[in-house]
Amino acid sequence: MHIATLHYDAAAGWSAPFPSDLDGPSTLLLAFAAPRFGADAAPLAALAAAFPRSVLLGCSTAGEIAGTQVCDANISVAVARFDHTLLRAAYTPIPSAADSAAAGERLAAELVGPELGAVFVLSEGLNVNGSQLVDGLARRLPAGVPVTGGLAGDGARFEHSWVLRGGRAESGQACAVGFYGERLHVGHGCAGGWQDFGPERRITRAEGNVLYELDGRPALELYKTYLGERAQGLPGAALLFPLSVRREGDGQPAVVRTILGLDETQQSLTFAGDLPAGGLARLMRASADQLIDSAGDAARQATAGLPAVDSVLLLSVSCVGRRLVLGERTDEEVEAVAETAPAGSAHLGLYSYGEIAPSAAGGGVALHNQTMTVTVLAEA
Amino acid sequence: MSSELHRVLARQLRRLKLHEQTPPADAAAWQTLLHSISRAYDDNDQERYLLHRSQDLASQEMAQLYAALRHERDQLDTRVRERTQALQTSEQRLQSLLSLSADWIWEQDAELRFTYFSDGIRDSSGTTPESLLGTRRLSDPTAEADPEAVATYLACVEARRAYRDFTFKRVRPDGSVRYVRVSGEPVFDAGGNFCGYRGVSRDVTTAMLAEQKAHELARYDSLTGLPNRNMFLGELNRAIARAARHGGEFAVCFIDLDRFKTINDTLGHEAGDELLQAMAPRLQGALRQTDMVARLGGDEFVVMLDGGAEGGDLAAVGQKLLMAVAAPLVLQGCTFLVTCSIGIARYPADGQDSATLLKHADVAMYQAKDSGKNNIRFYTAELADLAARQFELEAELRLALVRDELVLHFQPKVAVGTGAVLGLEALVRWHHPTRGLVPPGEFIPLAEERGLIMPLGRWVVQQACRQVRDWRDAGLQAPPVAVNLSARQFADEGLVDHLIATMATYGVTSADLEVELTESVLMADPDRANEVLGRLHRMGVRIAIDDFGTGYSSLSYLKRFPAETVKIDRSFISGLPGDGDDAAITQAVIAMAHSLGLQVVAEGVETHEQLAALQRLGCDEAQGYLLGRPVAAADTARLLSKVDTGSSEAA
Repeated sequence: MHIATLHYDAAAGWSAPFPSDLDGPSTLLLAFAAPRFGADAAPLAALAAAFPRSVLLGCSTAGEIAGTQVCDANISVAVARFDHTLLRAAYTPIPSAADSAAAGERLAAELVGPELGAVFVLSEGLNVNGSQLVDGLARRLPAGVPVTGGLAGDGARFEHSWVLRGGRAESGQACAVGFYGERLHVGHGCAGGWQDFGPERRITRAEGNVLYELDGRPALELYKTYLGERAQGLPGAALLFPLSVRREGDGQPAVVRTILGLDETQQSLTFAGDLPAGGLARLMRASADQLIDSAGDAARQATAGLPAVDSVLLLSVSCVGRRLVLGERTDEEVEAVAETAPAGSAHLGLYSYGEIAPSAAGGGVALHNQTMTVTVLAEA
Repeated sequence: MSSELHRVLARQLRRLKLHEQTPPADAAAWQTLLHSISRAYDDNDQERYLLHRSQDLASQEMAQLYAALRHERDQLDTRVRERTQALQTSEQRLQSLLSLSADWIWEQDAELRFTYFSDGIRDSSGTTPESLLGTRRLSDPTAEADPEAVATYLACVEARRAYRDFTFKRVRPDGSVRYVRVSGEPVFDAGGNFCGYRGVSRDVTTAMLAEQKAHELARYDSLTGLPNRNMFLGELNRAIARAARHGGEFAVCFIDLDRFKTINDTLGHEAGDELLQAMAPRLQGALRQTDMVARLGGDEFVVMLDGGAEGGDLAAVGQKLLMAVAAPLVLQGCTFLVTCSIGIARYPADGQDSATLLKHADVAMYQAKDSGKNNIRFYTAELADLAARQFELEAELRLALVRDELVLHFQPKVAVGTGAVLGLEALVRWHHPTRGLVPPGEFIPLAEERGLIMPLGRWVVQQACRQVRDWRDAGLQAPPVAVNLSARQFADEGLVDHLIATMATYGVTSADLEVELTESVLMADPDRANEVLGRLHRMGVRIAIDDFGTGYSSLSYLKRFPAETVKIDRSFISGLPGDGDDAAITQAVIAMAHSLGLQVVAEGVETHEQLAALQRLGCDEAQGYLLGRPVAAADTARLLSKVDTGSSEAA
């Protein structure tokens, strides 16, 4: 396995010449880009052109991770040529959020095959029900195949996200790559660092991923009360208070749900995953230190059991909500991941609108919010 | 304080490519550093702001929630207190009611073992709760109940359903029997699991015994202790159903005591009851275990003879019954011979339902009575015809009284020596519009059986008086006219008053009237006879003892009664003069009667030889076909005319 990373910024251009010699059918080309490179298509088109035989996956972000840095106007790229692993890419449109589960099933159907060892997925980040997309994937994929990835971001704007298809940015799309081969090592980790606080509240009215009322009162009102003067920063400010959601009595662990948008007239909030009507929800908050520590935890989970090899690719998918809390200290959680990884590992990632990974508690694949998820790829 | 820089600041320096020991080279780098540090402070402020705000709000919310919960808890406390109070009141009320009630409450666990009894069980049934705790309801070997009720009860318990009014019997150690009636319902816990039963019981011994008594009364005749009509009909219907299924045969006997009415009327109801009571064990004693005897009412008994309808066997049983009834019976110090008449109908030949069988046995019984009593008759179709004819006759007889179809004939009594007509006996005749003249032997007994003898008797007295009046008015000299009084008439309290009234109506005197009574009428109630005859005698009405010699009384006994005349029964006269016994009896009777100052009349004189013999024996008067048949009033008038003209033809 051979890995090269490079990045692009408008002022300096590409940080290095394209390592075109790595191009091949077993080469994965990952590109996480600031949203503006959807319209400013030339750099990505050039990249695609340089690796005609490689599998290219990419999406818009709410922050690009490269090494220990977080940027907001760059393109972060990793080129990974596998020696013993076959790759297959799958693409599908997601015309509406209601089609999410079916889209997940379509992707899975294309990827199912002998020796499928892992799937990495990137999806449209706004007009999608991430929970259902993941459910659709899990339904069709063999049990035990880890699925990781994330939902594309749009900075803190929540307006327009895209996924690369054929080297071009397209909205309403999802893509995935399947890894086939026995010598592939996949590790994954997922950690939030958030803590519940305040009373547990009943979800008295919710439809799908739209929350209307908690304890019989408008949900938006509650958020505004808690945000106080920072309510001016809605909807992004709502990311400061994700919800811990659980159904009563089903024994499943609570999931974290983060806000994608709001509707002042309906007094409703739209989340990145479903909210069970009748379930229980609790506000969450975190300090910068807790978030940074949890990023390290996620990396430790992902690198546990990693064989001693020369080339390791670390893919971090963190949440836009974390950036909002971390602010000036955002880099620290990326550093926390990078520091945990073996020396010489290549580190690439994005801030997303939803993280996809198996739950830390050993559960199946799920859509997470407000977490740092880390995927480790290596060949033994 | 640590000498190391804060890691945020250290990182900021690193990002700006500045060094801890070296100040920024230019103003721009300095500005960038300061902005970077300022943003970190801002971040920190905002984080603190949110932290404090959210902590405040959350703690406010928690405080509100706590207050709400505390309020709710207080309300719950109040409700629990109120409920507890209400429960205590309710329990006190229940306890108070229970202590006043004969009922007691019990509880059983899931294994149906008793776990609780209220005190009522001690007071009501005399059982201690301790002795029953841990036991099961029907585990007591003396416990007993109707099998159907037990099955229903057990089915309820099996299905964990409520049951009502299951009654069972227990025998207490002291041997007394107690009946307990119990109702219960299953108890389930919140999870729907069966925990046992609870319910209420009551000692119903008194009620059950009363019920049994009532049941017995409803099925048994209180006078004789025999099954009554209801019970008999029930058994009969069951026997019919059984026989119909299995093709069996059996018979029904209808038993009626002969002359019971007379005994009842003359000796009084108490004697009648005593007689019936005496008959019950006699009848039962003559039957097999499988047969059944019942009292239908009055002097009517009925017997169901199980197994077979063979004529000979039935006749033998019937004969046993006749003999059993006919054994001498002492009532009020006197010995009586009571007989009965028995009618037998057989299933299925003579009837296939209870009503028909009983009706046909009744028909046969009447025929037994008609053919001389103390008798058995099997039902036949002919008997049915006969019965039907009698029924018809009875109806017609009732009409005859109002349609003037009855007429009096008169038979003379003549002086044996002179042939002079000394008196007339009035005898009723029935001119039936289609049957012609109906013999008195056919309709008088019928009238007696069917209660027509009273109006008939009164009619006879009335007609006799009127006829005397008519003859008088016609210038004829009528001798005294004798009328027969039946036992029924004699028992009639209004008899004497009616005679007086009738005589007054027709202007006849007591010397114009004579009454004739049989021995048996006198003997049925000698005290009453004495009283009635005494009154008649004082009025001047002549009294004759009819059919003398057929009963069991003696002349000396008859002396008690104020009679003037004795009429020797025709059965003795018919043997004259050849039969030595008859002659001896006749002679003795005449002699004794004369010694008592009684006139003697011989009945049924048909030959000159008989008349001559009577004359030799010193008999005073004679009556019979030889001396004059009973004839209509008009013909009798001619007889009287002859007498009136002083003709010597009869001499």
